[in-house]
Amino acid sequence: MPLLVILSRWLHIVSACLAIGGFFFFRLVLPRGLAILEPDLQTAVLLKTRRTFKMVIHSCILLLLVTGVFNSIIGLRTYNLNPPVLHTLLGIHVLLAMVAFGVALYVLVGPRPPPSHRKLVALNLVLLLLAVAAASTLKWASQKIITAHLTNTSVTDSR
Amino acid sequence: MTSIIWPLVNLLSRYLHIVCATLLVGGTLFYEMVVPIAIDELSTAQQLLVIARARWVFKWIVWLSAGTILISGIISSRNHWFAYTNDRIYRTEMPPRFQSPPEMQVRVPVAGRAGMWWAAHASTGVIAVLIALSLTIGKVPPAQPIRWMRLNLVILLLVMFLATATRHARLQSQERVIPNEPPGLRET
Repeated sequence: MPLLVILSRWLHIVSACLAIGGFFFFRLVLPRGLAILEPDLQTAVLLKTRRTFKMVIHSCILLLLVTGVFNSIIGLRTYNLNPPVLHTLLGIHVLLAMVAFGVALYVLVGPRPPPSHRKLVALNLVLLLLAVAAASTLKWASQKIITAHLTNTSVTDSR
Repeated sequence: MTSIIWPLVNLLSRYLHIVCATLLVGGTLFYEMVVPIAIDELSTAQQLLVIARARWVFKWIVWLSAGTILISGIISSRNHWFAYTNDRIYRTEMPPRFQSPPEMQVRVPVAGRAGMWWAAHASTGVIAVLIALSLTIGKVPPAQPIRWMRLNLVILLLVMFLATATRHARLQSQERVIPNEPPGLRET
């Protein structure tokens, strides 16, 4: 079981890394790399990159959903220690991630990107970074709450 | 004031550590796996130009991420140092009067020691960062850069696995409950 927990969390983080780093590279690094090419060639390369990137993102979304559900079930006992704080943070994380998945799927659907794809990719990057911030705060807060809970239990036990 | 600033610094360092890791890992994968497929129909000269320009932009991201990862890693390590250096006392961040007396403590097995996992994570992390930096130093990339990036990607994935294992071991050590009845408290 511990191995499964570690593996699931690792897969969740790796998928998030590939999605966020990939979108960052796709939006900010690659266009600058392609700037020296002629516009037609730039478009052709971007479309080809998009096709390959689509497969990466679709796999990442699937892995994030599966491991996310599993991690939530595993962490529920901890999250129930302080539902107002931890459930809110978990909810924000899940909501932001779902919106980001929707935008990612919309931007990558079809043979050509939608007209506003540059703005949408930038928006998606911001949403994903906010989702990471919510997850990071959730883990930090749950750690604090576990420590406080154990200290309280210890005091009660010793009395 | 310190009671507000320090938790914020911890939280921020944790966030920055993860974000910079995502940029390094995701960027490396994109650079090494997605871009070469996308530009394979261009002429060799054009391919080299595109790779060189992307490398120049990516270089700044690698350097910034490497610096931030090292600093935030040091802050996080300092924060959890007690858990990493103590293989006997289970309840971290607990006042000494609530910790079990020595005769009631049991040594944690090697696989369960957060400190061992932390050492593995930190050492492989430093190796991965050094490889990433060496690939972006200078105007010309080293020989066989794609092969090096592929190796670095594997090491980065291993580093992340070790980070996950470290956290798991740290939480496990914290959650373990042992009989806890310090003699001083019994009398009160």
